[in-house]
Formats: sequence, structure tokens, C-alpha cells
Amino acid sequence: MGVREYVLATSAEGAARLVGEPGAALMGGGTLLMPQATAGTLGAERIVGLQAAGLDHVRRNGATAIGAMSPLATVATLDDLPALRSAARGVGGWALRNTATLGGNLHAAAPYGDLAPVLLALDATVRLVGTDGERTAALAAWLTEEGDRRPEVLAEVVVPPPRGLTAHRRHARRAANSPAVACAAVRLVIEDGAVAEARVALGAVAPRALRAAAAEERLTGAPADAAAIAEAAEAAAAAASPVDDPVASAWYRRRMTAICVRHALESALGEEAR
Amino acid sequence: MTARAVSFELNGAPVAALARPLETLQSVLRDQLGMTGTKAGCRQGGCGSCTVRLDGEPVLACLVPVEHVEGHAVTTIEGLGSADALSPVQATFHERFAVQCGFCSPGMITIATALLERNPAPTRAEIAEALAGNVCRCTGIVPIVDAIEAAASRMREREGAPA
Repeated sequence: MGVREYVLATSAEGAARLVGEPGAALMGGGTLLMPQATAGTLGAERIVGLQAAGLDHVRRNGATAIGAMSPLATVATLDDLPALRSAARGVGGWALRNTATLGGNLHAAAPYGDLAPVLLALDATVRLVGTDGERTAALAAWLTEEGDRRPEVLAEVVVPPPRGLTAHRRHARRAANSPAVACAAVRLVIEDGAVAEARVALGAVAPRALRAAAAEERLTGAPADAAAIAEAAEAAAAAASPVDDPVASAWYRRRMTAICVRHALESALGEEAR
Repeated sequence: MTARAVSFELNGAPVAALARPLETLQSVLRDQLGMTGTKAGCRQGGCGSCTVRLDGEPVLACLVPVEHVEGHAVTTIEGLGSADALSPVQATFHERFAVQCGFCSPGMITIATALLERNPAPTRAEIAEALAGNVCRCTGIVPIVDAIEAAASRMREREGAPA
């Protein structure tokens, strides 16, 4: 089925209205859908583009609100969110990052979608615009909402001021322009020598990015010593549900999950990270 | 399906094309406007051979729907220099044997030119980072990095030279 029409919406609300019609699908920067459109495998007749919808912005007001159409090249310059900056810089090459968007990355299927684990670790929320108003949801909740979503548009991702120590680690077959074998993002709040709050999030090793609850529990309430880090890393690997694909075997993805988590925790704690 | 007329600036001159919905900038450049320097490699954003500049920013022409360039400025390799007057990066690619089959060269030269405008004295690591999305199967990349370093040095000398 070929694409019969490409409509550029001029607002998020307008896009939500247009995408509610049968056979329609949303497109951000196009890096995921354009190859399908070119190959004639795109399963939609009418594509609603967000390029002109006014969603390319970064606003700081304590929290950082990043428009869904912000290019990854822009996200890669957010120096006050170094873990998010690191994840954005790891995607593709320079030219790709100029058109790939934050919102598109959050819709990318594994092993793509490097930004979601970092945003999960940062307790980000999403602002969604529908035809009958807008709503805010925790990113973690939105990512697990089952298909058949109501016609609405991801307008903005809001990152609260990060509390504690954050880090991101990614392993791929090559240093750049290569999909992740595994990636991990962590955030630790340390009080009186013990971990008061822990976030351990994984990407590329399950259908969607996820938080590894067992790893977070292992870390919380105790000092983040070598034993705690090693056991949390193994707990995170157990929470992964990787698949064999041309990039890596499930076995390798699971082992690299543990290593990415360990290195991220060591890096966050300022220890020597390899 | 309705064709749409799209107008934009190409290498400094106004152009127009009739495009299918979601036709790529790459296809319009090559098949309608004769700019065959923009190569069609993987057609999925993985090889960099179709790198062009959109309002000065490097983009992959195989991923850009031509509707997105309406009213904007596109620069291809044809807009950089000519056989009689090579740009500094084109000249050092030639001198340093950074071109073998030549298929990746327009993309490599385009992104290198964008890099040197932003960073006139990049380190080899910064050059490699800029080239991360551009694949070369012939040269082993090292002569390409050498050529970009040489171009940077030549451009700095010219900049510093009295008029």
C-alpha cells in the first residue's frame, strides 16, 4: 500500500484530530518511517507530519520541558542533563541526529530507542495532547500502555531537576552508528552513606525500555558497595527479556545488561568505570 | 495520490519539483533535478552517502521527505566546487587519495565541510566523530581523516594569510 497523502499538521491538537481518521499514522522527523515509505511497506495511506506542529523547543523552569519534535542533535547539547545528552549522542551519526526526534525515539522498537531508559531513570513525565484536551502521564506508565492508543500526540517530555547521581552506559558492536546490544541508565540518591533512592532502567533488551525493580530494591537502604552493585547488576540482567537478532544473541544482550548496569553504577558513584 | 509542487533553493538558485507524497529529497535531487552527486546507498539512513545540507545542517536526503524542504536552502556536492575550482576539502581528498570508488565521497566531503565551518581545527577524534554516520568500504577511513586534517590546515593558512 502506498502513501496517498502527507499532511503537515500545524498543532499537536490538529495532528491528534487528523490521526484519528482511519488509515492514518503520525510521523515525526521521519528517520523510522521514511525507509518504509520508500520501500512501500508503510502500513498507512495518510501520514500526519508533526514537522510544523510547533513542538521543537526546550523550556527550563526548574524542570526541563523538551518538545517531542526536538532533534536529537538538540538533546545532545543539554549539558545540565549529561546522561540524556550521552544517550542522544550515541544515536546514529551527526546527519541522522539532525532529523531524528526525541518523540520518535520514544516510539522506536528495541533495539532502538536509547533515550527512554535515561528518561525513566530521571522520572520523566510526558504531556499528551488529544482531541478532547491533554493529559500528563509518568513515562513509565505511558510506555506500558497497551497498543490501540487513543488518538493523541506526544507533545512534550518533562524532566524534573535530577536528584542524586546519574549515569548512562551503552554497549554496541561499534563505537558509533550501531544499534545498542544493551544500554542502562541509573540514578542514585545517597543519604548518610546509604542509598535512599535508586533507579535502574534498561534499553534494547526487552520490547520496551523498563525499570529493573529487583535491582532498585537490592540497592535501596544499604551502602552501594561492590557486592550491592554486583547483585543489582545480576538482578537487572534477570529482568531483561532479550531476543536473538542479527545484532546480538539474547545470551550476549543479557550479559552486557549486567555489565552496562555495573559500569553505570560505578560511574554514577564516581568510581573507576571502564 | 496527488503530486505536490515543492519549491526550494538548491545550491543558491530557486528550483521547483512535482513530488509524490513522502518522496525523498534524495529521489527529487537525483531523478528530477539531475544532482547525481547525491548518492543513493542504503536508502535507510545507515550509510551517509546521500548527506546534503539543509539550511547548513547536514541531513540524510534519503530520510527527508521533500515536503520538509519547501522554502528552505539545500546544498549538494555540486554546490561546493567544480572540476576547475575544487573546494579545499575536495582538493585534499584528491591529493591524499581519500577517494577510491568515490561512492561515499560526496557525503564525506559534505559533512567534513560542515565540520570545518564549525570547528576550523578539529582533532582526529573530532573528525572521526563527525564521520561516524558515513561509511567507506574502500579507503579504511584513515586517508579521509588525513585529507580533512590537511584541508583544515590549508583553510586556516588561507584565513591567516594577508589578502
